[in-house]
Amino acid sequence: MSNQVSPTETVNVPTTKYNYKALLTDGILKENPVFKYMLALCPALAITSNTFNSFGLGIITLIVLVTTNTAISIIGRFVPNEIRIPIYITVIAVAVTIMEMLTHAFMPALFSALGLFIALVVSNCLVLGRAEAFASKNSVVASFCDGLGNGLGFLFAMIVLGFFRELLGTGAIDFDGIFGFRLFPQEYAIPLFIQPMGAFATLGVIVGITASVSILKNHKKTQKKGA
Amino acid sequence: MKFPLKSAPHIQGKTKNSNILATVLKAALFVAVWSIFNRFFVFGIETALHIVFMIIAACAAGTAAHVIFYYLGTLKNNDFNFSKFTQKFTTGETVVTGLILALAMQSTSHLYAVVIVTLFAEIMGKLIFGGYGQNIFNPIAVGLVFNALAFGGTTLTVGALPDIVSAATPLAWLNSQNWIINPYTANNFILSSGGVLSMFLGTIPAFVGAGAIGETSRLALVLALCYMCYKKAADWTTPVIYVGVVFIIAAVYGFFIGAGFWYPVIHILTGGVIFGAVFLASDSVTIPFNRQGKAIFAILLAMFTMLIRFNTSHVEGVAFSIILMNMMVPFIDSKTLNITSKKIGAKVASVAITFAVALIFVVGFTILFS
Repeated sequence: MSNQVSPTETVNVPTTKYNYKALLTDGILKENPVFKYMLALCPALAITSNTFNSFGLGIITLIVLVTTNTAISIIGRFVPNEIRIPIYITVIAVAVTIMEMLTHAFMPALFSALGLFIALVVSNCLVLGRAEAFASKNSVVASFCDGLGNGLGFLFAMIVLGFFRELLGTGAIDFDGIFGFRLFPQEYAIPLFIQPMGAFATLGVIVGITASVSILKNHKKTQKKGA
Repeated sequence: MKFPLKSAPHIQGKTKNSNILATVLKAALFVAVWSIFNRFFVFGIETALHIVFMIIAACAAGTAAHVIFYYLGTLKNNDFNFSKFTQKFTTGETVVTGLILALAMQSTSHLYAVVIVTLFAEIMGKLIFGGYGQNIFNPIAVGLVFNALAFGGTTLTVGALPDIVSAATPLAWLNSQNWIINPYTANNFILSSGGVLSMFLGTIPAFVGAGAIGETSRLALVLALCYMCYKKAADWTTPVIYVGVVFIIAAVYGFFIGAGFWYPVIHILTGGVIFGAVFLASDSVTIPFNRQGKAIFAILLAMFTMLIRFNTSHVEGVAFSIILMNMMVPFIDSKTLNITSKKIGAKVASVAITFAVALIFVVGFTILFS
């Protein structure tokens, strides 16, 4: 009687077939977390005054997202439903702390530039959102692909925002000395775009453009079907 | 007997969007021509030509923004119609924002700044919301705020105009004194700039110099407002109450710091108060519907203008306060539109309460923190 297993604890392995290509590529443009779902706006608005910094935070978030998605998809089935959020947060915090220490050790300039925002990846709603919505219910390989796709989408959004803000705000791109160019002289730059208001304006315009492009595509599709 | 077969409104007034736009355009052109001649006689041909180029650049940028947005709008159904396209330009919709914006900018502004500011104002202030009549914020105020934040601190000015007085404008000087000036300095200041009447007419080099183009002559602005009110393109309520409340708040504050009657006069005659009242606060799209709402709007507008003048580092607060108050227009409308016309007492009381609050707020705040 003592080793009787209650029926609620039966392991329920998902048997769905995944479209791995869609999982990898949808996050970049079609279902971009920043431009389509408005997730992770805090770092996307606060850090993107500079292309290199936004690239750095994008890479950090990408690695954290992939590791936590994989780990949570492994442990997801054994986690009691009532305390799943604290456990996910603990897993995410471990990954973020490792990334923070690595950045501190190997890229001190980026670490000092990003400051608190590396630790704040713990509270990034994209990471917890993917863990809760996808990784806890799906297989390990699918969660890995989903984390990679969404992380790449976030990285893409950060680079786009940082590129346009730095270009308009300073007239030049300086990617940590690795490469860089000057489009127009410094005195013609609009420093407003490096300030917070420029972040909101740039993000709003890009979100508007992506939304109108998708509306236009859907409209064209329905027109073709109708004809 | 003639039976009207169309549906309701059978009686229509002559006022149309295109008429209003044409009237505003004429008024702005009048101010522009006045300012250009003023500068031509004071400084010479070079300065006047620069202003002409500024106005042309602003109008061209506004038209370009409209062309781009019209083309993008036709992409959905592929219904590009050339006659509709040209019809847009005959109403003057594409140039009116640019023209007034150029008038509100410093006369030493770089053409690059003029173009960028106009594009920003047209696209972010007007076209993104759906064009003329749909905008929440006054596009001219949006452009002016963008100009103050983006190009206010830079040195992107025209250096090659030798005749322009490089001294600070009276407004900047007053702001550096924190608007508290003793009678002796004030007397010197008014004399050095040619007296109150010259301030009103705008015939003094110090005023014509580096200030905004359209803000040189208050007489031209008042004439433009009279013309617009006569043609029913603008309502007199907002501009008159706005300037009046600015005058009263300044007078009360002047009484507390021991200044005389000249103090509120200086407040009105420097900076963009009259320009903002004539061209920004009278825009029928972004202000409340009925007269009571307009009065409350104007009083709160004056309150924000004076608060920004007294208590912030910004030199001028007209454009900022107009943007702030544009946000509150739906709220004011929701509170004032449902009051029936018989309750005159309630209307007067609400306006009076708003006025008292504004007065106490500005004067109390300024005396407390200065």
